[in-house]
Amino acid sequence: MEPWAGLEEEQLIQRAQGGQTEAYGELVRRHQSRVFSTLYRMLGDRQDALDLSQEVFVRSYAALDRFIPDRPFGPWIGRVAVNLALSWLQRRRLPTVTLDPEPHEGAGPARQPPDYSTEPERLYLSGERQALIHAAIASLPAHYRAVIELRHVQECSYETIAATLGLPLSDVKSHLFRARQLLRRKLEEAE
Amino acid sequence: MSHVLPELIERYLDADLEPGEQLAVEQHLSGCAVCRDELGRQRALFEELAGLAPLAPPLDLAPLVLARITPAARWPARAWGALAMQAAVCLALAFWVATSVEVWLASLGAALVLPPLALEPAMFAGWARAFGASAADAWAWLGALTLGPLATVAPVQWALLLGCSALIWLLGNGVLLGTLGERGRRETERPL
Repeated sequence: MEPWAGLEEEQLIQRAQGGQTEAYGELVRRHQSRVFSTLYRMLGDRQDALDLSQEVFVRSYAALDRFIPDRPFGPWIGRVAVNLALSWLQRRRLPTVTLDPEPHEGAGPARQPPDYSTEPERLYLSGERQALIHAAIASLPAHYRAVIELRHVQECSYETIAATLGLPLSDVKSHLFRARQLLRRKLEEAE
Repeated sequence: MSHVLPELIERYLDADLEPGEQLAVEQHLSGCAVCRDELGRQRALFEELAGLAPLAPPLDLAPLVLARITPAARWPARAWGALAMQAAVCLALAFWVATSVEVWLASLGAALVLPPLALEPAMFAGWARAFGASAADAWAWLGALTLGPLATVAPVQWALLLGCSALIWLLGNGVLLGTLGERGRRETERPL
């Protein structure tokens, strides 16, 4: 039996591209936290994040032939997760919260943000401050969540964010600015 | 005293300013406590976001994902190359086998090898009419094609070539042998 855990990521990708699904299973294990975290912040719901995480990996497997093995897998799957979360939010027309004083194009009706103050969620996020930041991110309009995730967590360049989301560079910058302003306001209100 | 716009401070933290803008912001920051405070607050947000701990999913996703994918669901890129190589090898082998069989049949005096099929323009025109196209247009289109030596290959030769190719491909992939072997295995496992 092949010791998958000892293989480099590039080797795993090549084996997965060759049809060895167990190699892909090892890639899933290595990146599931990253994907799940991204989706949890984007969707604000643990079960939805869990369901969509599986979908991200299944779809990425189907697209694995187009992936160049010597590129890092993590950023790629992270961007797939953000895009899939955005599509999912738009399909479900998940509403945004009322924090944004400016009307946001395409946003649905207002709703309450996920309640991260409940005991299981607080324990799950291991820390009040982390829970607060997650709640603040989840309260943003979907595109703001996406740019925050891509820029600050996945450390993508403006250009990569623009390409990932199919937005002009100027929109990426303005989304980022507004998203950060809203985040700061939310966090300051909570302090 | 005017202050630096918050957007400029963000872009400064993001290293997105032109050299001239960056210098101007730095000069202002060195003499403005208000803007330094703003810079500090924005920097704190950047650091908090970058420091978000990854969350492990409540269960291992790998078995769930693997249950939803199968190797047959994808056709690996290298498989296409292998298939093309197989086809080329099969055709080459089949050409050799088919010509050998033809020579062998001829040596036996068998008259199985028919003369080459004559390609008449009227035949193509008839087909074209059958498909609703005008004969003149069809012939003009066909006239642009060069059939070359293919036109001199007899139907029997085509049949031999393609038949041998298919047989070699099936044997090469173990389809026939695999099926026979599988049937044999089932036979042996049948309870007595």
